Amino acid sequence: MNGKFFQISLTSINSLLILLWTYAAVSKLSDYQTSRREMLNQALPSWLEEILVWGVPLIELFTAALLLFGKSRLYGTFLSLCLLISFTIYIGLIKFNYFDYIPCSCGGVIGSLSWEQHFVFNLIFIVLAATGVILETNRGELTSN
Amino acid sequence: MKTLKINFSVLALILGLTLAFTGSAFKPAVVGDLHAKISGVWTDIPDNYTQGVDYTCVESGQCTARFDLQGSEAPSDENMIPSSLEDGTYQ
Repeated sequence: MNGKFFQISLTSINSLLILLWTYAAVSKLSDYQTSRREMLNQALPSWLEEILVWGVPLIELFTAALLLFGKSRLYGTFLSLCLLISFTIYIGLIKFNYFDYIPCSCGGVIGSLSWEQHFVFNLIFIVLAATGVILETNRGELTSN
Repeated sequence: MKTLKINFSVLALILGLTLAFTGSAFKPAVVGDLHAKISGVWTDIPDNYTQGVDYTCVESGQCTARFDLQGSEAPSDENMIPSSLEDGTYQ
């Protein structure tokens, strides 16, 4: 792979993931009461929801921090992929009526998106994060060719 | 190239922070009287939006909504501000 194309791809994916996690975390923390209510409305055990009220924005910020630095970037990209897959599985369970009721889609990255739109949005970012993991892990091989 | 990458990462971080803060700063002004659905009846509740909200909406149903009430008009689907409806059960 062309070294410059490799660098641009990796930088773009990395920047998009940082943007995503920073926005998602800070928008939750800046309107804590609303995001707490939205989380408590989700179809999860209440003890888990109480943990996730703080847990989700904190892990999102942690992921963004890992992505900022070269040494931890691979871990950040991999954690991004895991988080996105988890969120997407949750959406899938909602759509397949696994839970007793369909909660509001307000607690997602962008509150105004429906569950279907969130699903597509997540799939796009899963592809980006997976590409990022592949590029990061094969950095040596790809840049030398 | 390394310097350029660091700059893009920081730029993305700043953009994320800016979008999040401007998004919350430019939220539409709160209008209408806040009511909660308690035992199937829309009941007036204290509107402490600015001081922090002390209720939660759990699971399914209609939780809270704002109503554009004129005089002694009772809250109903007709005078509800549609975008204000929060899903869940009021607690």
